[in-house]
Amino acid sequence: MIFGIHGTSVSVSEKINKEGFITSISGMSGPGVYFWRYFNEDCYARYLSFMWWKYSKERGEYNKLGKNTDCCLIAMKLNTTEDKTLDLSHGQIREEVRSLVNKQLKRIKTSGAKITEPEEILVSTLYQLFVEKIENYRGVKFDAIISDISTPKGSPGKIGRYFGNCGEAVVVLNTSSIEIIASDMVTEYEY
Amino acid sequence: MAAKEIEEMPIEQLLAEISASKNSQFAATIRQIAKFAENYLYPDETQRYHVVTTEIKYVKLKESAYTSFTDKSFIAANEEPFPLAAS
Repeated sequence: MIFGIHGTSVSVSEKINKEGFITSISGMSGPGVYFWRYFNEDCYARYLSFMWWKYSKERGEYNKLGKNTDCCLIAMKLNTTEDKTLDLSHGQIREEVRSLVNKQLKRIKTSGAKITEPEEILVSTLYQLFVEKIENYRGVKFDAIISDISTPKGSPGKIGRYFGNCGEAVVVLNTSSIEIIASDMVTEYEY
Repeated sequence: MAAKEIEEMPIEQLLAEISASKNSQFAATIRQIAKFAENYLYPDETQRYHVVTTEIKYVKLKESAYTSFTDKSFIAANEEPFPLAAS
């Protein structure tokens, strides 16, 4: 069973509760809806989600998306099967993706092609292309991928810093597999 | 195997596939916005279209890579029909 938490503003959470999640166009591990993965109640994922909200709020991300910019954490359960989840967090496959992105970015930049996209969009799309190729080989559409991504600015926290600057993310590609199980407002969260 | 396939692509093909993947994701996201607007938010079509184009503009603002699209040309270029009236 896969569980995750997503930090956002109260106004956006109301919209999500009514309409569902909408996939992003890009992201650190490709497009999708990003959750921090959790396994139990006392979870680091809540802290990372809170810090994500804090970072987004500081950047003014929620200003155009409703009046209430306070923090809301949305917990979800992913209704999927093992064969429809791609785990990119394991060492060997992670190395393969990192090497691929590194080599292809260099190849694109030195090709002389006129590239207008920022680097993060190219990286995101290379991820997406890689996942699509795996889907073609396996003959399956993934509901989600598991990936280690950088913790938000200001984290990883007092204890978290002893465990590196990455957290495990669930990047949901098929939004119909998301089941929201809880939403709660948070004013402060220490870890 | 997937990485090898990408690595062995000629650069022109790689750029074309990146562009196709990016555009298909953009289309998918916009369709999601449109579907939600259609199903849940605004029963009036004119109002719905306004909501969707406003969201598209927001997405564009956020993702500078997509600024080359104009709403109607993008909608017209899609293979699948856009779920809302585009006029």
